[in-house]
Amino acid sequence: MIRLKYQARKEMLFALMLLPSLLGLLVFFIAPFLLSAQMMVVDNPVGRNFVGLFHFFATLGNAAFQLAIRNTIVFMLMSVPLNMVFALLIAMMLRRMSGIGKGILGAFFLLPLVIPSGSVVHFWQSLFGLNGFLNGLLNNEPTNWLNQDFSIIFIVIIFLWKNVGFNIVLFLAGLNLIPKDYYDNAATCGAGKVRQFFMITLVYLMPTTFMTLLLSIVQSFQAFREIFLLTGPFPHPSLYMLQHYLNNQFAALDYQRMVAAAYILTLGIVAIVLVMLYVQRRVMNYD
Amino acid sequence: MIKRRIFSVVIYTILILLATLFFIPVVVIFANSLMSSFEILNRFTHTVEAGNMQYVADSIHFVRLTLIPDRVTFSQYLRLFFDDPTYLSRFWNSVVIALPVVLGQVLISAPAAYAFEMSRMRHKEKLYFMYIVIMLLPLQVTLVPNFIMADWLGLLGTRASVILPAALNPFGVFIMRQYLRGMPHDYIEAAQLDGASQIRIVFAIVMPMFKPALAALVILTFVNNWNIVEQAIIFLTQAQEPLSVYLSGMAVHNLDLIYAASFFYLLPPLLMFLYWKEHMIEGIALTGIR
Repeated sequence: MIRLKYQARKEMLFALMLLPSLLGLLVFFIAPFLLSAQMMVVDNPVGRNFVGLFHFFATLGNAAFQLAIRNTIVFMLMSVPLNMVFALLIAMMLRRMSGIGKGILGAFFLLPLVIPSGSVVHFWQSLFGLNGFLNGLLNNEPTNWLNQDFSIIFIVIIFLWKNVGFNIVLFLAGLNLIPKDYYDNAATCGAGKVRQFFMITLVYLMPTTFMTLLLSIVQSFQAFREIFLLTGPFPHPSLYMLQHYLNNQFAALDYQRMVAAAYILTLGIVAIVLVMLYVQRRVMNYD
Repeated sequence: MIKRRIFSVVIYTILILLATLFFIPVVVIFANSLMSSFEILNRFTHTVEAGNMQYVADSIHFVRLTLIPDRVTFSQYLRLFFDDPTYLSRFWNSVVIALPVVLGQVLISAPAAYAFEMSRMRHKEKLYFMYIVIMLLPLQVTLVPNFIMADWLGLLGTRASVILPAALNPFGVFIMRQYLRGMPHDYIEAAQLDGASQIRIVFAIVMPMFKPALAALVILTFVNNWNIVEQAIIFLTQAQEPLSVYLSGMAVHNLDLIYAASFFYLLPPLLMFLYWKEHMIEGIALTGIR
């Protein structure tokens, strides 16, 4: 009886601790998001004639929106896996180093994360721009490397520079948790390095991999800031991202299309998270 | 044995080269901040000014990036701070946005994360799912509800319209909860059996253990909000404009001061990082274990 009361009191306290965050989220994110649906289903803010899901489908069919979706997916399909692969590779190399060297080099890799993008923008422009250092170095025709069909590659490089350190730290921690005996045992059983990597390293890194995947997606959405600062509101078509589209709707104060786009994206993200959680549950059942 | 040695040397070399590459932008920015305006203009623009025959002779049109200024001077910094008060006032604008957000995140996210991890509430994972979805949404999407609410509350044009949503961002709860997951719960539960009250547990045991995660949270939140661009453009007035927005205009108007402005701008997060880096690395490391 007394135990039960104790547990109930504890739960009360937890609820109290959760309340400010939950309430805030409700007020500033969830409630206005749900209420904004009514903006989407009318033809304009003045007339307010009900048009159903017209804006939702009009946005889906919009050429600029489709371009933005395509570019964003291309960027994510490049940046997210590369971010994870490079981080794992560097983490595995760093692991071979001894104490001090590992700490110092690790800090170097993490450093770009704390550099505000605004402060490096001019550096990147001086590197990749029309009269940029890269052209001088290559003795090239003046080319703006950030205004080409393949410019996305340079954005990916900048993205990796900024974000790979975070995932290196995560992978290093994950690698350190794998007992060394596993490798020794595998080696005595005749498993080669490659087999050890796939059967031990990758399997036991699963929780870390999910974490890096989730964070890489968050980070890849944040890369828009770099693209925007580097190339302005109207970049080369290959760099036109979802955020450009949304920013332009914001600038035009076109609530209908803005909310429609927000709903489409939210549905997309919900789908992604559901798939990830499902896979995670499936894969992580080994323990 | 020798083969192993060679392999190690190769790996060390690759790592050191890579690490240098990661570090170089900061060094270049610092080096350029010590150049005179004249030198900056000559290095970064097409136009070659009179009295600058050396560059003309070399027919340099492309940007010259080097690690050593021709002549070291602090003139960029002096002009930046004393010629025009705008830069320092924008710096202050950034401070009064970033610091309240950090404080809010620490006070709101840490208890919420603790509750999420320790509570046995029935639908907590469903609530948590919502946090993850909101965390994953691109900023521009969450700006829509933020904007609508700020408009209704009459907060547009005030700093609160930027600070409140940022302080509530679920990323903090996520990072802190992931960290707690990686920590042995026995520790906390042992304290509970001792009859320590929840609040005492939080302050005496959890807070000190939270230190690495808090360091990570503080630094990441600070950088992120030190760096806001979109929110400021949409929600704030010109006079409240943070340094991040002001800086992006400088490339056009004050190219000769941009590197001093950039370096001074990146100094606060850099110093925080150097001061707390062990804690921060530990804090991030433990979030990925479970």
